[in-house]
Amino acid sequence: MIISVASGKGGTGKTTVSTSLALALDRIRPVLFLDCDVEEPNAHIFLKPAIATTEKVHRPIPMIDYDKCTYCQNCSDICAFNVLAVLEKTVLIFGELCHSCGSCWYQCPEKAITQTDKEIGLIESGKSQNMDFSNGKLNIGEAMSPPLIKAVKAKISPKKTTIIDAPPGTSCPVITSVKDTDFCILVTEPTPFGLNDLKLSVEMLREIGVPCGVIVNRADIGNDDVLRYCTRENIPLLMQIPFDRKIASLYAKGTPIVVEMPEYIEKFQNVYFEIERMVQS
Amino acid sequence: MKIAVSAEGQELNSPVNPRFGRCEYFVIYDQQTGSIEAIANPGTSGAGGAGIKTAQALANKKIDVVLVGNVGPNAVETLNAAKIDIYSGITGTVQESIDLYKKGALTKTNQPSVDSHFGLK
Repeated sequence: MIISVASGKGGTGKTTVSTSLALALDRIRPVLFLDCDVEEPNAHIFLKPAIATTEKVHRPIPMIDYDKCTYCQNCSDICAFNVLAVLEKTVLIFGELCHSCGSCWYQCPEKAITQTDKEIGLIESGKSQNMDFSNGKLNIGEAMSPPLIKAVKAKISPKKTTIIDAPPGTSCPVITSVKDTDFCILVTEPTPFGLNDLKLSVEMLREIGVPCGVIVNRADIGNDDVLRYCTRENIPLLMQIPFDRKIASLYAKGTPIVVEMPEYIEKFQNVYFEIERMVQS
Repeated sequence: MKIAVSAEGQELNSPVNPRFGRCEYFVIYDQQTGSIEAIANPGTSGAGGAGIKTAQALANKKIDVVLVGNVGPNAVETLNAAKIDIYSGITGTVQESIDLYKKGALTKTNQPSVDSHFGLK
């Protein structure tokens, strides 16, 4: 079972939910935690894993074989991202713009374009208590995170319950993170901003066919519009976490809720059992 | 000596456009023959790398000098590699900017004046 944790709006409590859910499950089954928010991974602050291995992740970008290149400009014409500038005696390659689609090397009439690896970031893996843990860290200045997110997701093992902490929003990195997961928990707050971005997330998940449920964090602020929306759209409300000073101060210290507030262990385990029921039915 | 000016239109009296990669046209003035030609900027579409495509198009037209308002890092790198001189500080119309260039009133540069995607803002 693969459960992703996402949110349209940032700062609603994705990591609060994902880390506590993972720790609650870690007591009863084998768990793998993947932090796919590779632009600013933060789950390690709460799970404090002992990192055992670090591996570099690359993606292919074009490289010109000047012995074969005829400067025909076919590659710069077909590239949708303007990665290549073909000049009189040289070809400039702006690798940071490249989406690694392969059009240029597949379609070069002279077979003058080969692939070279561009390092985009790294994956750190280790253990936090019994749990296996991996996160991706995107290199500063690297614009494209999906290739690194896919490399993190390659760690998914059918033997373990996988919890994926997704980036905020509804863009490519989020879609890459939640795609092909069995269920997505959407964390939101009961405010107009939270509702607006929740709607966007729900539409996105329906588009890619991932079932979802909602956890409302800071449940005492704002209004009931989020709850009404969930009822109207038949989206299960999995849990409500109150707007509680203690929870906020635990978060600020990097302590997961379930560590200091054990009454939440069962609550998070119940969220999992409910998801399991929904996915199996 | 072929001089290209980033512009909103195709005439000498067209207003200049300070956005290099996202301007509508380049008006090209050939100092040898005195002829005027305009080309549509192929870089205007697309999400990124506009200046790269634009600079390659100017290189294809064998431009020697380009007069700009602003120019981003990738455009500058491509123009420098194509050995096209960059002069910034255009204002008013294409004609006025060419006159400023002839008077030596524009600043030669090989550095970007703005960051990537500036022309989209």
